[in-house]
Amino acid sequence: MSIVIRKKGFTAGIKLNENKKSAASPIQLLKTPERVIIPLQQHTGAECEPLVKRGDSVFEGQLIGDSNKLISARIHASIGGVVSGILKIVNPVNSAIISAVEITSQKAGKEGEQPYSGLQKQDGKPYNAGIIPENVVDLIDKIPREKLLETIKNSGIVGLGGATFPAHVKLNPPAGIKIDTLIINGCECEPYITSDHRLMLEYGFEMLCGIYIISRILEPQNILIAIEDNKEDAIINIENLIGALGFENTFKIVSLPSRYPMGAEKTLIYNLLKRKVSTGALPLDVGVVVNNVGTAKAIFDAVIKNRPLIERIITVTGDIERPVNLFVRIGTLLGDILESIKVPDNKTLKLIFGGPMTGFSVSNMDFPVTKGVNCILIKEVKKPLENNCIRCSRCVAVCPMNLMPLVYASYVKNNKYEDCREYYIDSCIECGSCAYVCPASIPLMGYIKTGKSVLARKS
Amino acid sequence: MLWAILILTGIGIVCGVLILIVNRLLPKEPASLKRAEQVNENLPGMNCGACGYPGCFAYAQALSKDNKVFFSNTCATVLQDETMLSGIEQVLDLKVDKSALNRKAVVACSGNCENVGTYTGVATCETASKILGGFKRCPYSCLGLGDCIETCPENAIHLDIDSNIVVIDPDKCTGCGLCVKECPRNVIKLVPANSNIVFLCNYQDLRDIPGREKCDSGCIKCRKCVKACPTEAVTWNRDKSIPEFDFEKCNDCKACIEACPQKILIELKNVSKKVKV
Repeated sequence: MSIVIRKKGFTAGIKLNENKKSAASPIQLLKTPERVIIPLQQHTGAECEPLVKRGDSVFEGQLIGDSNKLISARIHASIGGVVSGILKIVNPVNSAIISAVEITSQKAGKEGEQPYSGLQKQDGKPYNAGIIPENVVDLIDKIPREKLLETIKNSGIVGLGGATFPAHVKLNPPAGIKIDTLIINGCECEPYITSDHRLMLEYGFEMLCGIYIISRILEPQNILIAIEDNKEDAIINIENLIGALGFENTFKIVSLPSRYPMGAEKTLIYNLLKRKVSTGALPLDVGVVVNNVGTAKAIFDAVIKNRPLIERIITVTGDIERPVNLFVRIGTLLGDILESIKVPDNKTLKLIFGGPMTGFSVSNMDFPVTKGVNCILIKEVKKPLENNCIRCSRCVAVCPMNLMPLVYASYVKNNKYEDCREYYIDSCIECGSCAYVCPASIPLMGYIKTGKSVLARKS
Repeated sequence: MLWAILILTGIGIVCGVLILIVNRLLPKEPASLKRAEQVNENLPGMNCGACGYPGCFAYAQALSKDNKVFFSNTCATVLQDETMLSGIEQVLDLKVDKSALNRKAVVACSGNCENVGTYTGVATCETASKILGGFKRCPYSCLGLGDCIETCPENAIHLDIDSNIVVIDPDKCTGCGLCVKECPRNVIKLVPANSNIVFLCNYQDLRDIPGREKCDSGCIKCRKCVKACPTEAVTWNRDKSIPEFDFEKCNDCKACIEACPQKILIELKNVSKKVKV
């Protein structure tokens, strides 16, 4: 029996131009930067307290930020060096001003003091081979469940799909809730981004072992790896690896039609299991945990290689000559990444962190890459002229959550925020499909975000 | 025809008798409601909601139950009007110290901040401030898109085109605090109406925030105001890196205003003049 299930049919959502220009470009290692800025809140939840002072010398992988709150993730130094200052930075997710640790590496002297063993590279490439597959599975089987969760917590792992929810909280459901299905999200439905695609091709082994670790913790009955059908090579690669590792009986690959927003958590659960997650509820409440493929790999790195989350794969793409996928240290400044990229200088381009549908634009080069950034998009953007709503209801047709975005726009314009709540504005997953299809170029996403933030602030 | 007249008259008489009976039987209007109505006569009746109650009558009901509410949720419009204030004092049996409660809203930003990019989104401060700390150089500055202008019941707020921020006219402002709640960046502060010092900067860090510098007209954190003060009324807040003023200790000597090299410490009555120049 084939382990690949092919699903068809997804009514809402849109078919976008994929523009996956960097799909064939292998992951390259960006040279370690000399200066990093590591924000102390890169996750959903409470901000961490800095554990280092100005002038302290830190080693690679050292814990530099921790919080005693339940929903929070630890922060580690991504390069060795000296803390040159605790400064403030704008948090891109909620625009709050948060603390950040600036580390400058000093080549001479202090670097050799406490080398971090987990990060040794082989031939300049990240550690990939060396452990025989059977050994890894045995190794994982020997570690008790509590130890696994503890390691994940200590390594500061968050969901790498973009929502950055702390992984140890997600993988430790409250007593009484039984998780029957684990979904591994490899859809990558947004245009341009290819970091998860390359990860499945090049780090499939790590990823599958990471999924095995998650399944040890949660003990689900079904493990589904969801991949869109435009990544056929990844499906074949993962299928072969599952065979090689001997996971045929538990792991299933689901090939889904490539439509946006297939990879959003709630739509993915509905398409795979026909279960609906109600407003304000979590996937836990319907017995499902969804994890990104990147998170699975990070969990493998933490448990087997004892390596905290200090680097991630990002795609640098858009209207540039040579789009690439890069292995980047957390906290690397945007300017350092763009140094190696040839950007045409005769055009005004927009810099976007994240994909074209849900990303946010960045206006300065001194901005660091955080745990949640999966793509840097350099793109020419035309300013659309906002017209009046003609009530064509295209936004209603495409909304994957079956909402009425046009209503929110008119209510927010007239300051009727409470009425937005009656139309379930909190259910919106902010995928941006409505603003994309709007023939009057109404920035519906902007209005919805405004309404949500006003409601959150005033109540 | 005759029947119709008779039936309708009959129904009228029966209903009238019923109303009379019900009116006699049902309890009379409670005394507290009567008192609330008396209070309500001395309220402005604008239903602006600045006191925290859904309307003037709801506020009057709360006041009639407990007159301490007036100090916790003060109606700013009443404070401005002598006849309304004396009426309230009479009905509620209160003694109101007007100068202690009277406040004015001030935009703690001196403007002239450059933009770091072109903002093309929805033209409200709420949305703009959510996109990577806004489009201005300073992440604490007034964005000047005017969310507060619409909320002001007194039309005291206007946009200053030269400095690209909003300015509140202290003569018109009643200190109701609606704009303070509206501002997504907390730039608007309430200060005592008789205060002689207003600090027009909101930048709360000693160092430059990466990519977001202090503006040229903002506070340079020289702390001259702290040193100049003879009565120790000015203290330095280390967490926020801004001076704080204790108006109890202040003796109106204006030494700090003269000491400020950036001229962002000014008197309240000069607020609208300073920014326009």
